[in-house]
Amino acid sequence: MSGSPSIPPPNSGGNSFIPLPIKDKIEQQASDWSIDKIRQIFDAFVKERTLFVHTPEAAESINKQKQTSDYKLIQEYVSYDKYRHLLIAGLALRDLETRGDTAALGEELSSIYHSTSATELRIAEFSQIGLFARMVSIIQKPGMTREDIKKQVHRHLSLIEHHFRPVRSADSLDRLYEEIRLNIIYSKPDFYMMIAKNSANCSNMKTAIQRLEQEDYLFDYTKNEDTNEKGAKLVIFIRKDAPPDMENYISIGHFI
Amino acid sequence: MQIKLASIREMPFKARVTLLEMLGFGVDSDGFVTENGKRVVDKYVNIEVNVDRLAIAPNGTLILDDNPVSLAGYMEEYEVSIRGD
Repeated sequence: MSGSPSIPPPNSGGNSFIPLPIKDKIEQQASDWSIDKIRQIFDAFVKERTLFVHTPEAAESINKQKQTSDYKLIQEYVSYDKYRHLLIAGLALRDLETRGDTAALGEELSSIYHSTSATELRIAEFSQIGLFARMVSIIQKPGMTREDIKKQVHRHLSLIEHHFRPVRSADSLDRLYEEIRLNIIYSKPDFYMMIAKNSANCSNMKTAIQRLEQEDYLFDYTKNEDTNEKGAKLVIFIRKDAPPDMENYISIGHFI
Repeated sequence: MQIKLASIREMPFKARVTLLEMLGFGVDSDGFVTENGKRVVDKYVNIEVNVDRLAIAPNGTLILDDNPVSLAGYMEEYEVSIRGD
């Protein structure tokens, strides 16, 4: 938490402001941004409880998510920590994507790349694609308490690389194939979801799966393919439901 | 808690600096927000906050990096909803 607001007179020099290296930026000040106008904003901040943001779209979207079933599910099963924030941020990104607000989405994506690690980014993407509810439904087993489910959700999110793989344009087919193979065979995740969002990536993902089938890895999968004017999208969902005597067997799970 | 939402997208750099000074903060030579001479770190994503990516929340004047994860963190922690007026 930062300090409480003191109300020094404008430009009182209460903190160290070093103007010279940022002089150029300062000179960008528009003439209509008078000190009186800034003081009005300051007064609004103090009196009216105002959240000032550079891009309001994300805050509006997050606010909107509070009415959704996905948000309620996240609140139910994810403890108050960064995972919860990432999942909610993902919902907001999905909202911007659905609305077709590409300018805002671009800005927010850029800011999320800037502020999170690759693993954390993957959790936000996982939520953006709408897979969180699916994960909870897989984890839930008869007799589990809410706390049991929360622990399992936390564990799965902490191992998100073993459960969710967005296919990127930078992925070569060989790299993708090898990563899927190693993950399925050695990490043995109880489910594994992949998504590709353009034709080339979809094609790579399908080919990688076909290669694995040809090499007698025993698994089945379901896929959800959507091609429209915005491009192709393919989600492949692999679920392990291994009988004790059949190691590496992965059976069909229905997706969407 | 209900709050208002306001954009500072069009607010020039100097105006942001002035506003921050009114709130008791400073800005260093690289454009990072400071408090008592130290750069302010966003409590949700643990990065230093730059004036170009600034969010200011009213709860004790919380300075954040403007990104969806921090905003979600803030709105969750303080149970904030945005007033639609």
